[in-house]
Amino acid sequence: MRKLLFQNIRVIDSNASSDTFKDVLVGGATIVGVDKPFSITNSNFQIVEHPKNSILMPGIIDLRTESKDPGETHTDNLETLLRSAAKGGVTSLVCLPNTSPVIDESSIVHSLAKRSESFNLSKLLIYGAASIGLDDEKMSELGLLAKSGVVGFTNAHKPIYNPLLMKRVLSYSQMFNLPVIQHADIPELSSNTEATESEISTRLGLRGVPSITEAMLIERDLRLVKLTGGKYHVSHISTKEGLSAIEKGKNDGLNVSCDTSPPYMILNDFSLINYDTRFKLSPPLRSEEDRLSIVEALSNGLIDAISSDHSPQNRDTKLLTFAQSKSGSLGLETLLSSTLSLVNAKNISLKRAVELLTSGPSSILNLNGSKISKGYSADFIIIDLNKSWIAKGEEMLSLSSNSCFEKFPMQGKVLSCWKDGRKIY
Amino acid sequence: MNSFNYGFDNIHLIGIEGLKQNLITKLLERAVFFNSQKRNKKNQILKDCLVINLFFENSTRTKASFEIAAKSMSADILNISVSTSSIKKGETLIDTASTLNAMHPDFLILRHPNSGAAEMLSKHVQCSIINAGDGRHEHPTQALLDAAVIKEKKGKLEGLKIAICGDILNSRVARSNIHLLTAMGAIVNVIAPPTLIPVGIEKMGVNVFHDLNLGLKSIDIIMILRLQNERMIGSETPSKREYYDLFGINEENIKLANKDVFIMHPGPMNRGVEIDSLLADNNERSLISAQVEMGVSVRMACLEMLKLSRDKIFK
Repeated sequence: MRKLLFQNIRVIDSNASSDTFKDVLVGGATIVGVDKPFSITNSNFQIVEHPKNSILMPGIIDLRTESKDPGETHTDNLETLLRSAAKGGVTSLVCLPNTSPVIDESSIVHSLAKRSESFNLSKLLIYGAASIGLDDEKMSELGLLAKSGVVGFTNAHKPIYNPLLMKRVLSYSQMFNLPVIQHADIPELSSNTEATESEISTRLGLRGVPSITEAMLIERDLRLVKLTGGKYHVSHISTKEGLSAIEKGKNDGLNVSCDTSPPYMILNDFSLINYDTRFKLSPPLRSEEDRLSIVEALSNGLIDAISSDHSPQNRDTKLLTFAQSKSGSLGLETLLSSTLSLVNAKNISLKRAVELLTSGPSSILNLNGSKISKGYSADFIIIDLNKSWIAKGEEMLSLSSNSCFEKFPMQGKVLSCWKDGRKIY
Repeated sequence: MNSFNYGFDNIHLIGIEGLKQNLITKLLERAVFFNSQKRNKKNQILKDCLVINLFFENSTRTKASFEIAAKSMSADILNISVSTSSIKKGETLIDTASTLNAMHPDFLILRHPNSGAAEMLSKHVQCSIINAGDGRHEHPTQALLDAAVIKEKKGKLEGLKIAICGDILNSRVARSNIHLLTAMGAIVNVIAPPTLIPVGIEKMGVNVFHDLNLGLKSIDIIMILRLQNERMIGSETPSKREYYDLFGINEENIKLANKDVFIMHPGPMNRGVEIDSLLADNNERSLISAQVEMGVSVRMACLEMLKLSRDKIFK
């Protein structure tokens, strides 16, 4: 097979010495050479053209997406999910187990993995259900799920709330060195709520959940993590209080990590003033103070990764009143640009943004990758930092169009996406 | 009848929040004028207009009030009550409203259990939406009629001390009244147990009291809200008798207020829960009947105001 040469391109990854112009040579599914510009010459290769100001960075690894397939394929299917991922520069994505049927058995993992491979697009990774049918009572066959290749255990959009189940899952999962992924919430406080409890929810007459519910569950969990020694990860963290709980856990030396998602970095609950159901999310949008603490934690390293929290919702379910409509927003195609908006606002460096999207999530999942170095998989993307575009749900590749960034001006775009040396977008 | 200039350029009435003080003054002035007219003589303001009452929640007085207001202005009116069971048949609010919109009504009066329902509909239809109560958000015509009654009785709103007592958390009436009364310069106390006070309410310009005796001090008007006791007992408040003991308004505790205090209630009342039965029937204190009467007049003013906006915009 002919090798591909990306000549004299700006390369950024989490290596301390990156962000210089290099030649990158790809042979088959692997990066076979990285060297100074124009130094790779005596080889049989094809030069891949790229615009002058483009950047080559590792493919994005997305810790949290929702697959509507199997179960609700009129809302989204596996192929459109994977095509959205490729368009968004995501070369590996993890889907939640809240499909129908629930991913609580290895046969479902095998079937989904096999189908996803048939598209030759991004790599679909899978979280197994922590409890059978996500019932929060009986532990799933974590061992068999692990053998079938799941990369973590979770109750998806519901918390692992039962303390006995959480204790068991944190203990048992250590045999497989896999993380337990938590959606930190207190159901009794959040059921039937529509927004974060605040002056804004009061003015709008929306039922509010106090923002401290996130920290309440994290604080409980950390005691169980300390007791069991398990590996614990909080998804889409969104509050200042939640972050202080994580900080304490990390300072105590516990095996704890967290990610956040673009809505919590960019939006606050003021967005709800017109009852636009695109902004109905779970967790709900928080205060500006919370948002600022999220941005700070992205910069200072407390947050380990940014996930898309991609959640396609059928148009019907968003045409209802705010109380009746479902939570969730598309996120794959806006993940890179929304992260870059923090770079443009000088909140984080470009290198930090790349880390949060690649090596950060990679290390949470124990994946060995996310480097533009010889011997690593050729999973990378070419991006244009300056390209401006407008986010439009209708133009996204998902079968649904519920983007909370609808009509937002975006800067920075994926030009091409490469998985195992093949161009998938 | 002379035409009246409200100076309003919106075709919908969704809430009190954001309405200008002089607009509120004009609406109240006009309502008082309509209230002074004989009811048996119809005017022609809404001649050839179609008004649809679309109520997704039970209502007696508000629905009747809009119907009488529309009829006394010579409009045609159609009442549609959507029981909860037929919502469950699957038609969405937008589909229902679009269907009705296709029949070219001029006004759609909407009551819905979800906050934001009226605002949402206003973006999908060409007719004027009047919010007759959306979830816990707003009930603008109730606040306007309350203010019109107060103004008629006290001659002013500015500087009056008004207590709103009861379920502030779940009440759209409380929110609309707070917006209106604070905008007009009244001093507003809200009185309720902490479980029925929503977060951040003080930022809407009110004083919060959990002690009835303190909250009623030198008050000119007590607005009593209905306790939704079918839903709340054992959750936000332990029992009816405890609620009455701590927050029930009666002949005894109104003595803490100004001696010429009036009491108001948007109805329906729970006698012996939030209000003592004797007090409810005390015609010297109670403005409850005046509220109902003014309700029709205020709704006439609102319909007229929006009709004038429509004529201006769609001319």
